[in-house]
Amino acid sequence: MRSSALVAIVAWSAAVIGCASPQDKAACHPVASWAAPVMQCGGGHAAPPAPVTVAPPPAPEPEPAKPEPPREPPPTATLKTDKIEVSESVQFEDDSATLTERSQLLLDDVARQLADHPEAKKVQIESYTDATGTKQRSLKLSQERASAVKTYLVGKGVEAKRLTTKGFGETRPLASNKTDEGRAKNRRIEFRILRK
Amino acid sequence: MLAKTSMIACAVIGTTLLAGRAHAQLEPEPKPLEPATGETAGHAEDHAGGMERLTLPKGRLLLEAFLEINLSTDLVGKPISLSPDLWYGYDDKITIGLLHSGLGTTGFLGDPVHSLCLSGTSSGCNDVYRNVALEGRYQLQDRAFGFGWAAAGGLEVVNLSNPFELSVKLGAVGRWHQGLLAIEVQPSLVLALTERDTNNDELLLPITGLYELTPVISVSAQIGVVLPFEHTGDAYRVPLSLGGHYHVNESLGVTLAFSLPFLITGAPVGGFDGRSLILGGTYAF
Repeated sequence: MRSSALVAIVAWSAAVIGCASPQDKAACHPVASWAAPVMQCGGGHAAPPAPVTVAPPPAPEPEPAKPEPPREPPPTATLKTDKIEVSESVQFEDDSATLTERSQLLLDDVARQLADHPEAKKVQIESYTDATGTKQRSLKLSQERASAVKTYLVGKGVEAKRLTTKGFGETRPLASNKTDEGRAKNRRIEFRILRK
Repeated sequence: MLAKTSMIACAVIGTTLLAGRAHAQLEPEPKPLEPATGETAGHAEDHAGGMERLTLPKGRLLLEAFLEINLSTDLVGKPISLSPDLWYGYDDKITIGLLHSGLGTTGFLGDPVHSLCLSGTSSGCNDVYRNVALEGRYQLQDRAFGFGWAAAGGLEVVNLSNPFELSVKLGAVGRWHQGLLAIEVQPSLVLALTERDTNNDELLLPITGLYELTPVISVSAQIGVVLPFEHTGDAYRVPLSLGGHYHVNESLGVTLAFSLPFLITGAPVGGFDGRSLILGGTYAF
């Protein structure tokens, strides 16, 4: 009987390992816990600091080190009464729904706000484009971008049922679509709190 | 008996999986994108920056293994066990586990008699494969107000033979985390389904405190109470464990702990006579 149990368990384990997916592997990692499994998704790290390496001896005439460009402060999100206000626009790669790395940092902060404020029970992610494409294309792109934002936030642990999406295409512009500056303003994601 | 038990286990697992699938159909979970890889500033802020959850993301696997060595007076190395626990994220809410260790099955570190018991019948092992549990965990709340919790339950084969002892476990897992400090509680009720004369109902209440010394090193202390429903005054016990964790990298962590599983008990033995050393490893696939 014990042999049968062992065989069954080994088979189950092998099947489970076979089914394991690398999805989220980079996003979530185990944390120190005696109530495993406990995972941390997004944000911090649990990796040890990089090993210290001994610098090679300086060259006889080293070139003066170039000053590093000043580092931009990370984008932030703030929960207001009826919306989540973001310090800068959520940006995507050109003509796609792929988030830029910097916007992922911004969405990390949005996810943090939602985690810290469960009273924001329903948040609508509203996506707008500029008017450079056809109306149909703009509408589709805005819907895809809103979905991409939701997907990212869900990946960060926000409950999917708290988030709804809506793509408005090129409607409701904030500024003229005739200038670069105006178009940049019109391309935006807004987080509207529907229920508190 | 085993066939009947297997049927019960299959029914429970099947129901859990179907419930999870139904849940997933109602609210389709979009596939997450790759995360940002930004730098972080102090390790206290690191934890504030992420979401903690008491279940695995869909498709992820976590393997924990504990080498537990009895260090009790006159019983050093009798027994020694190596207990693997395997957790699988069925979806983002439901995680299932195949558990063998004391920590996995009861929430307490320290009792060294678990599968796989390696030191032989002359050194404290009745069988190599003595116990196994199938547990499910359902995430009820991610870390809101620094506190997350999940429902937990499953079937536990306390003893595979002579006699076959089966129990059902119902409980919850909670974790509060603020800054460098985390507190974990795992209350559970274990009800015997077979051999109720020897297989007792118990209330388990482990409480663990963890403090992060550095981004990769944490220390832990666990205390709690085990309350059998029969002969409670004689059989209750308060275990104590102290340990440390080291994160080797984002997938691998190791744990070293020292445990006094009978620090306080109604039985005439206990205190510092019962001791065990636990070396654990965690790997996330």
